[in-house]
Amino acid sequence: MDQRVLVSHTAPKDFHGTHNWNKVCSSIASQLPLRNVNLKSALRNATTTVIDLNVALVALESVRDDGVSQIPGSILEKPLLHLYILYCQDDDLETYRTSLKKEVKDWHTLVTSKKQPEWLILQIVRPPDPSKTQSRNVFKFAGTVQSKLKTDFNTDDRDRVVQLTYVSDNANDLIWAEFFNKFKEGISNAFANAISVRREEVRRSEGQQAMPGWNFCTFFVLKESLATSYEGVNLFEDALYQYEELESLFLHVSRERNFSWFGALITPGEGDDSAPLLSISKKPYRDLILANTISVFDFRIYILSRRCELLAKMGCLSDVPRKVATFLGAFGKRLFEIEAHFPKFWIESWIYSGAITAVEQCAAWQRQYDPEAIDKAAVDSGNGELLDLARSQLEVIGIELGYLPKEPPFSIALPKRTRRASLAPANITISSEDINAILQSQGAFYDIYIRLTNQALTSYAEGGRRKFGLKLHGALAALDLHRGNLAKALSTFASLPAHYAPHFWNSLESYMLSRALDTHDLSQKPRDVEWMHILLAFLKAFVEHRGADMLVPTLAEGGKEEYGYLEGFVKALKEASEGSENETKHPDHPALSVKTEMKAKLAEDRDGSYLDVTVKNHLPCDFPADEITVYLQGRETDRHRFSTTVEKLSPGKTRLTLFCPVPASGLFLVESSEIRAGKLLLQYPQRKTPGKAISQHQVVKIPPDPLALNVRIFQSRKVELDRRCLSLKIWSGRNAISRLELKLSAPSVTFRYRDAVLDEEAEKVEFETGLTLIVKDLGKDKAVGFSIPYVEAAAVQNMRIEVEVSYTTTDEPDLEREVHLVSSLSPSLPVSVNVQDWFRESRLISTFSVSSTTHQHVRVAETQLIVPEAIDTIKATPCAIRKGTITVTPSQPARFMFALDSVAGPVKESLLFIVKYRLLREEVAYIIEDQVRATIDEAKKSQDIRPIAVANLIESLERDSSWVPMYNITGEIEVPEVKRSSTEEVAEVVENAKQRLLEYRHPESPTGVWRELRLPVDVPVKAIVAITSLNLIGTPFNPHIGPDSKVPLYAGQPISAELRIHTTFRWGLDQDTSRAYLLNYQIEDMTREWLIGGLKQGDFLAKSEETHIVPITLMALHHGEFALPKIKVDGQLGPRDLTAGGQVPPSVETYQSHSAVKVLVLPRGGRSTFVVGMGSEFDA
Amino acid sequence: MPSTLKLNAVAFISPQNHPILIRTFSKQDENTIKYHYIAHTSLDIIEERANMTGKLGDCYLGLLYSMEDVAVYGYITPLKVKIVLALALSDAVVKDVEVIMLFKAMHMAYYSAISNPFLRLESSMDSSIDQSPHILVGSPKWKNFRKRVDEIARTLGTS
Repeated sequence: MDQRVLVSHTAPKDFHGTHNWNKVCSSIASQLPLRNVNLKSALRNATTTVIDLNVALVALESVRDDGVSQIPGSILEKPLLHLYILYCQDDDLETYRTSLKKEVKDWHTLVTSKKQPEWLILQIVRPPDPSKTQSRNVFKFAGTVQSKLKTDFNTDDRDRVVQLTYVSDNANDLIWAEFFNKFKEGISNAFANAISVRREEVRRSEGQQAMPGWNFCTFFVLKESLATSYEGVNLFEDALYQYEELESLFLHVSRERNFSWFGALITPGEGDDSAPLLSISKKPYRDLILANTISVFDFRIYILSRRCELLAKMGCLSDVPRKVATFLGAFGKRLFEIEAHFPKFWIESWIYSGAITAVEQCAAWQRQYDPEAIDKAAVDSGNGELLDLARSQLEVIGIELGYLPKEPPFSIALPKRTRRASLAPANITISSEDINAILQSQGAFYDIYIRLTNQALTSYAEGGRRKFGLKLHGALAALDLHRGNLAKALSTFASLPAHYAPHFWNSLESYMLSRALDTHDLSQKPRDVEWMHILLAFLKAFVEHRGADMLVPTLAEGGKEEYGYLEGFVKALKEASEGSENETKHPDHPALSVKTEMKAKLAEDRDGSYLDVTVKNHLPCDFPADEITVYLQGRETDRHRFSTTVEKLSPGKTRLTLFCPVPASGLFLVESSEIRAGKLLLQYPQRKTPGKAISQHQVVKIPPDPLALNVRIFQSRKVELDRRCLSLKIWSGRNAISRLELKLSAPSVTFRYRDAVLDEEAEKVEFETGLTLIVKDLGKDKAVGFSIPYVEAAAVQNMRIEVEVSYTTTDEPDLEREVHLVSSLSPSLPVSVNVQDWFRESRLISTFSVSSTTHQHVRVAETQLIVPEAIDTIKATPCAIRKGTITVTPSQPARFMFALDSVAGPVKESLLFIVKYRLLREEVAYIIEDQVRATIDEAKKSQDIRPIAVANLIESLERDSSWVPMYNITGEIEVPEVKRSSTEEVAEVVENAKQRLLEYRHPESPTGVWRELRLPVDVPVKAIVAITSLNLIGTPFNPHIGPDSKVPLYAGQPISAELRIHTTFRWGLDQDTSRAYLLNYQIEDMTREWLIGGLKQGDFLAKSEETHIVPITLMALHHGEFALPKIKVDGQLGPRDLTAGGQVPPSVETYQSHSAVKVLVLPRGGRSTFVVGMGSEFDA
Repeated sequence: MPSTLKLNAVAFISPQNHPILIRTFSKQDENTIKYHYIAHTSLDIIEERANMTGKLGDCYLGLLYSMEDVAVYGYITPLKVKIVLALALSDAVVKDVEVIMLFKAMHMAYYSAISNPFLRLESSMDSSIDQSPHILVGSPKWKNFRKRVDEIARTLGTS
């Protein structure tokens, strides 16, 4: 219906039809359609600007007067505005008065007599001729034609006369502005008036509903005329609203069963079921309405079609599919109430065709009204829904015809009713081609069904409806399943759950999974790993949903059977997993969960510990697990495996105790738990997830086991600097070990097991060495020690040694325990030794200073300097007087002095310096161990408590160091207060041991185990040793002073003396005694004490065992007792040596034999007078 | 005025699109899956609508779509919990006011159920399955919510 606003035009007879008239008309027409007209919208109760308004100009004569038809048509059928166009110059009053005025008057009378008196007079003038303007204006007293027109016709406030200065070239649109403003105003007013009149009529008619004779159809036509009027001026919203009101009124009326205006609900005609739903032209609806013969069916379709069209025009095309779908569903339901009147599947056919034709119509409208496809996605998804609706009709038909099974997802669409037998007359048939084809062949049904589903899928995909798409994929898979395309169905079913899983749509996920499982069974494929994964996923979904609202048919029926389905699967799971070749690992399956206790218990009777765990089975049936394992991770890389075997896990919580045979203690992190069923491993790793707090980490504490096998590594007691070696102590604890294998490893260190030596002090045991160290038949509570040499590739500060021990006990010969220990060994010694040497003529004095390198106190029992037996050229004598053990503290080193007497010749081999020492804490630990052992022996108790008691005592000693000084002196150990022991027995032993320790004294000679540090010491070499002496020979008064004479020496008195330098080459390497060296001596300047006369310094040739004598004179400068000057002797390169080149001066050590000699110088008493001649006499 | 609405099912969906509770009130058991499908597919449309209306802040999303014999209405709470009602499709005009009233009742039921402080306790305790309280509220363990929802459905049926 292309409606336009009509505007009538009239002109004076002599103007009408002229060339100018035509020009004016076409000029007006060229400005149409009208832009931006303000119209009053009833719905919004405000003016709405209509952007484009179609306006048609018609001659007044062509407009029929009052409508012949009684049918209320659109208000636009009559002209809204009457226009009078006259052509008259403004000053041509004469013409106006004589002819025009009358014609206008007649027209005005005619127009105003009509119902909608909206009119406008357009006066067209020529542009004034500039040459005449001046003269004409003189006579303008009588006014202009325009003012005349205004006074003659403007009856109310509004000015309805417009003057237009017409320029033929029509270049300027502005000249039309005023006219069109008036023109729009006129139309707008006229429309408002006309509508309000019509609305009044409608309201009146609506009010008469209750009155007899009121006819809905008549009312409908009246009301619809409002809608078409609105539509004509592009006020679609208002138009739509009219239809909505009509529909609700219709429903209201029909609810009151006031059907007298309608024929039947439906009079099905040929082809009704397949007719295009949204086409208004398929039936003469309007005539049917006017004739009161329209059926409800047609009437509803008509309203729907009109509404949809208006929606499409409004640009709300996306609403159309939804409206249609709702209508088809709702009205279809109504039709089913009188199902018997139709042939079978007629209604389905109608819905099917309606949906499909609506989709086509939408596409057509989209091309027409929304070519830019702004709303395309929304329309597409709507179309998808419609196609889906059509598809579900096919499902209904398919199920009834037996093409499809009556089960979800097909049965979803099945209405909840029973079909009544059709009583329809034979002349109504199903006309839809698709439906007829379906009725005839199953193949066609599947083709159409799949085609339609795919169409819907495409629409959904374009509309972005992913989840709808999934549903259709599910349906397709179900169809494949039904038709026996098992492989395809299985793959679809197996892939679908992944789409539901992310949002925890367990219900749908589990449904898909159960379908996949069923399909798998149907296809009789072997239950492989893939099947297991599907089943695990299914169980996961089941558990996460906690069994509620499961959509699996066998589960939903409830009762005991509910779990039979599940149980069968779980059992099959085990069988399948046992049959598979490889282990299947599945992380974090929620069907089971493992919770470990915080603390492990010791096994007490054997090595290892127990860990209690609670396994929770969330399934409603038994889970056939084989083994439960928990892995704990320690501080280092060590990992401990706690496990126990089970037969099954009952639903709910099961408390289990896991055992780990490896003795380990400390804090451990729960690394993961595992539940094994056949080859299936359900793993629960405790990973660090970024989102979660650290507190989620579970920690298990394993208490230390004092009686477990223990391997300790420490520095070898005997340390020889050129041969590195470590000590290893294995204590069997409570175990009688049949075989123990031990392997050490440390970065860049090679251990030489083959050279391992069993320590003599400890037990004897059979052992083998090879790549590892193997010990056999080690009894209970036995300790063996080994020394294992090693070679270090690079010197390290701290050696990290990993010890791997595997052992079997005689009690449990089948169980091999593997202990992994890490021990750190510092190759540095707790003591350091420094040597200082002093040379004498044939004797060398060496001082060995032993100091503690750490903060530990070190007890030194003995030091020895051993001359190898082969050497007879030298003799070593210790100078030590004190016997007994010496304590070296970090601040106080101990010195040990030795004298070496050179018998003959140089010594090339090195001597050996031996220090026997131990750390104070070690010594005390030995003492405690001994004392506790003695205490226990005395009390005749089991030695088993010994380690606990010892640990107890040592712990309390560590807390307080006040006992140390006392111990150093006497050996008494005063143990500070001991912490409460765990048992009475231990406490008693500890008390007794404390008493014994208090009475303990150092033994006379060192006892127990001592460490030994063996240092090779080279005899120092000195090429020349110069022994200097300064002998006083005599004073002027006593020319000869004996060595021990008490001759007084006075200050200022010259004393003659001799400097003797004796050189010996005994400590040098050079055997050639005939060689001479050039030496230089220098007497120390003691300018405050001595005045030295003679050669204070000079060179001399030194030969072995020769003495160089220099006479000098000394004079004491003041009285007192002071030492004689020192003499420095240096080697010098002789001229011969220089020529030889590259030689260094020989090393010279000077021994000042007079260095301790002090001389007493007396003050000079009395006075001496000296007369000194002035020299003049002698000169003369 | 007696309500013309007949409630077939209601679904509560969390802001993360996890189903909280899907409750059906029709007898046929095997049709349950239908409402699960409806709830799931509605999410697509709710998303569309929510994007379209943008920040208008209107909770009521209106008729989402109609499928077979049900009309599906959507509602999104200010905290983005989605409520989907599946009403039996009837030929009568469904007044939005009535549907909104129903939605508000459902929202209140959810709101009062989620206010249970013990829910949060449980959610933090049960760390093995990480669920926020609004998922838990729909679990069968917490009966209160189901009870309230059922009551609303019953009231609607009898009125």
